[in-house]
Amino acid sequence: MMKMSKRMVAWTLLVVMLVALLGLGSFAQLMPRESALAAEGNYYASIDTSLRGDALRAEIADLITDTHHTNPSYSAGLASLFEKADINPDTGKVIQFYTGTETNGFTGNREHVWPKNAGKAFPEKSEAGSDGHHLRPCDNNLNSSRGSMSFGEVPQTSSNIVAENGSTSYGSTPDELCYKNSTYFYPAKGFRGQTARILMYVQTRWGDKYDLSFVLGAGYNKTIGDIETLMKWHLQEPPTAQEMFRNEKVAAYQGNRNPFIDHPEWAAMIYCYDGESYNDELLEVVRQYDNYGTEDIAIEGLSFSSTEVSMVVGQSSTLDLTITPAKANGTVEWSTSNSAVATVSNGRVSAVGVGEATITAKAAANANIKASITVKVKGVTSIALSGAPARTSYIEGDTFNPSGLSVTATYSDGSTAKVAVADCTWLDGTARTAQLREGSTSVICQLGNVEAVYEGITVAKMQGGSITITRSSFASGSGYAWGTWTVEGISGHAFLYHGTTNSMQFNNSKTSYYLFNTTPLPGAITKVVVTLREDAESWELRTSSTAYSQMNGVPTTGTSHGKKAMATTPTEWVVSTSDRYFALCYADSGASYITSITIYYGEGCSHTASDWMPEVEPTCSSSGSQYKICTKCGTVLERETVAKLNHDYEEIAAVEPTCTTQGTSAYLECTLCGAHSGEPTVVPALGHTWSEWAEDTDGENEVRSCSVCGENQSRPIQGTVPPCAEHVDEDQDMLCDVCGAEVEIKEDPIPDGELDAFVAAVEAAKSASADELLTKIGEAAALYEELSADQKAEVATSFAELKTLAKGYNAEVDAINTTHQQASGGALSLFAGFGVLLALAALLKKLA
Amino acid sequence: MKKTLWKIVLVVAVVCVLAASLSACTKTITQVCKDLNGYLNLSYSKVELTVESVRKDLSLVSHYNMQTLSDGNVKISYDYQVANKIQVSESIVVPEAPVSTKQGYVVVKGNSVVEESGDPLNVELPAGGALLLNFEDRNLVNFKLEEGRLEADVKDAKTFMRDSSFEGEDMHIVVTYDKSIKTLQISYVQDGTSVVLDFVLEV
Repeated sequence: MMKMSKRMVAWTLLVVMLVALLGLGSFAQLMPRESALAAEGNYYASIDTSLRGDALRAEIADLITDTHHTNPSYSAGLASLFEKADINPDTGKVIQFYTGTETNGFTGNREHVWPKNAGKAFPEKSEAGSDGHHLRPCDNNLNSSRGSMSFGEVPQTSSNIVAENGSTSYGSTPDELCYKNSTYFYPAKGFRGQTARILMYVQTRWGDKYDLSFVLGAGYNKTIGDIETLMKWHLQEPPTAQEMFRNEKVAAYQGNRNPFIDHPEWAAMIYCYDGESYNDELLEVVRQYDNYGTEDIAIEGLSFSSTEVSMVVGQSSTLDLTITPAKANGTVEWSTSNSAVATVSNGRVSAVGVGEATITAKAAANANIKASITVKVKGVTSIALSGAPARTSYIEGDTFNPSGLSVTATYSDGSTAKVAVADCTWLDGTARTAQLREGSTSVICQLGNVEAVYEGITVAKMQGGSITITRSSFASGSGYAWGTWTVEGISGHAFLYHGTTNSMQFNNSKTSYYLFNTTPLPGAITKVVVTLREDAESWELRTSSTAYSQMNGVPTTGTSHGKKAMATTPTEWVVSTSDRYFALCYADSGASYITSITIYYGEGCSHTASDWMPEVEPTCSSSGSQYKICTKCGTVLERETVAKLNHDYEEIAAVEPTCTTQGTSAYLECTLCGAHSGEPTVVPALGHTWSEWAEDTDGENEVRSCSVCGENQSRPIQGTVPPCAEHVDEDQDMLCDVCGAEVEIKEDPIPDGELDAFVAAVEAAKSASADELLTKIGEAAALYEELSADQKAEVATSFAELKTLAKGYNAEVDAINTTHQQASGGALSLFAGFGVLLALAALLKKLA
Repeated sequence: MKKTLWKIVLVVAVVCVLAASLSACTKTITQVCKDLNGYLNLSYSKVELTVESVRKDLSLVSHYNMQTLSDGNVKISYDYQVANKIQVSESIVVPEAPVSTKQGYVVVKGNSVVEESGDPLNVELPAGGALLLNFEDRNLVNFKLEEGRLEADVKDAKTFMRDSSFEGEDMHIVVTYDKSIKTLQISYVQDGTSVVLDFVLEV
């Protein structure tokens, strides 16, 4: 881990430029104050920084409210903003909050860092509920797990790890993971300070309107804590370059800024002096972790705790850099010697390819102060499965549970190691989808681009039926607490009052107020019927392809089938879904008493397949793929390979030579890929067919003409003009310009100069025989590389011709490789046994 | 008269014996094809395969050795060649050598690969599964039939390979056999590439 003491000094440090070096990756760690100062301009000119506490906060609140002219829409607006503001400029991917996991585009949930608590704290999807400085992209499951928890530090034990996308292995060190217990949520390192500054923004911007405030310890609804921990995080993790980048993007959209990113020192100036009960604690935190001094403390030394680190392709890790003195606040610049093997950003290394790379951390102020570490990256070359899964019987639509199986990876360095099953992707063995299909007997385990197959599961068709849940379905309990219900082998939980025995009593003032199943229903949910004991309240039905879990409030994941006002007459939702998990969520206030809940399930979607839809377009040299989806539920039903295309040759007509210009023979060129079948040959110019010289009418000259093209020539009658000692033929008509004697055209001198050499080399390649073509292309390419950019522009046409030759060569290579592979495969299959062929087929599929 | 009669009988007997022996040594093309199809169903404990492809100036040679081990597993050792492409982008980079050679082996137990080593296998198995040759006399022309050896042109390669998607043409085969196939050479041309498959088989 990077042990950088992030002392918050008075923000008068110099601006550090973000540098991306060609061939090397580097991402400078900014000194926030200077970048912020450069960007904010006069935005804060009206703020009286001599104020403290509520007075200062009120001035800042007025400013960021008055300048807040646009709020993004909850759905499209935030999604678009995330893809602009929450991207890693090095990778272009969206950074998920709390963990730093990167995704291609925005794919997860919109995380209200200050919990909206189903709209009780503030509006869910507007104002504070969609403020771009507040909402952040977040993994669905992690969002759900965090729920409405306050923030605090939690023991970093494996049982406390919060899964992201179903995995607890998204970080390789404890600080790269998120944790939670029953009270607090503990973000990964690097996101704690950000969390604090988001909450401070929300409290400042929206606190007056919605009565939002900080507390010591855990808060709920309109309060949030632990403010002491949040202030510590704010000081330990000052604003990052990414935060400032984001602040600019959001400010450009909304009009207002997050003042705690621009002026981190204002946090203590407000919250240590606002007259609240936590002031003394915060003053002690500020004294311990920073004093907002103005002193520049230079980096005197940098060191890593080891000389090398081993990683696997796809893994990311934060390097353990020691900076001396510990409170130094200089900038550290990071670089990699081989970005094809490992990239580095702010001390976090990502392994991208097999090999070795040297990661260097350098003090920006003194290049002599640096430290290097070797990152050795290995890749997975194969995986093997062993053991047996605990569950082998499934219903279509289920996802495979790999518990019980072990995955052993073999790496490029020959080593082997077990891999967590959760780090692999598990697919239906036939359809290659996450959802299992009826009749499948195998699953594919994918790790990166290697695969292994497990045979031995059964996948049955969905079944129809129903279950009815009543108060008597629950095991005993007491008070308002989570209870467990079981009906016909299906189980679930609900947060209800165990003291009421004639109905299921829920209340929205309690910790939670919903009911859900943990065992999947035998079929897809088709209808849910609810009957209340008395009164009329509103409830919401949600369904999901994965099980819900216990959380504060109600879940917001999966598909909402809407809220319904219900009473003592049965009220039903009729749904069309393939989901087998539901959550019935109380959406009103006060107490609500449910007499019964009947869940109907059926045989699932009777899929209607679409036409084949292209996935990867085939080319002349490689196959493609296409798939079919169900037009009702969108499930991918099947995939198949599309054979590579045959060349579509068209004849490029021959160009006939003339008396003075060369021609070319006809040849075939593929309209799809440009490959040639046969190369054109050059046909030399024909030369004139001259008549005999005849005296012209002027009596001084003689003339002749070409019987083919009609061109005429004239010269002094030979003998009337003395012949030149040295003929001159500037117009290159093969006649001396002075005496008219016939002369030969002198060949251009051997081309000298780099441009001529390259053009000549291309011409040589064009006329090369098959056995020297590669050599000639190489010679021309080498000459091209020595040209300057301007020179390259001058010979663009010749270079294009050289590329055409190279592509034509590659087309031949593709053809022989393909034929050779097919011949080898066909020949092997002639005498290999059936079992051997099955094994080879599975192996090749894995390698593909 | 009696002596003449015995001479005639003796000559006829000799002729009959000769005729009988000759007919036993010379099989028809139909019988040979039938025998060869039967030999294809035998289990060969060792198969050595050489594949050579030639296209213009490019030539690739691969070797495969399939052997049934004492524990019943099948080990396939291989070395193969791949033609290298020119990198074409903003610059052009030619490969150091026109051809690369790779090698490795796999061990198959049942229908699973239980051991792998070296470079991964690089073949394209037929889409329809295993190929099975079809020696059919009507599909062989210009043939030379000798004791334990058949050489012929194949009229319809798709029929011979039992693969309607097979693209090879101008196919020629040479087979040697003695109660099993000993050697088999299949040559053809596919899309401008000449291919020769050489098998050496042991029961």
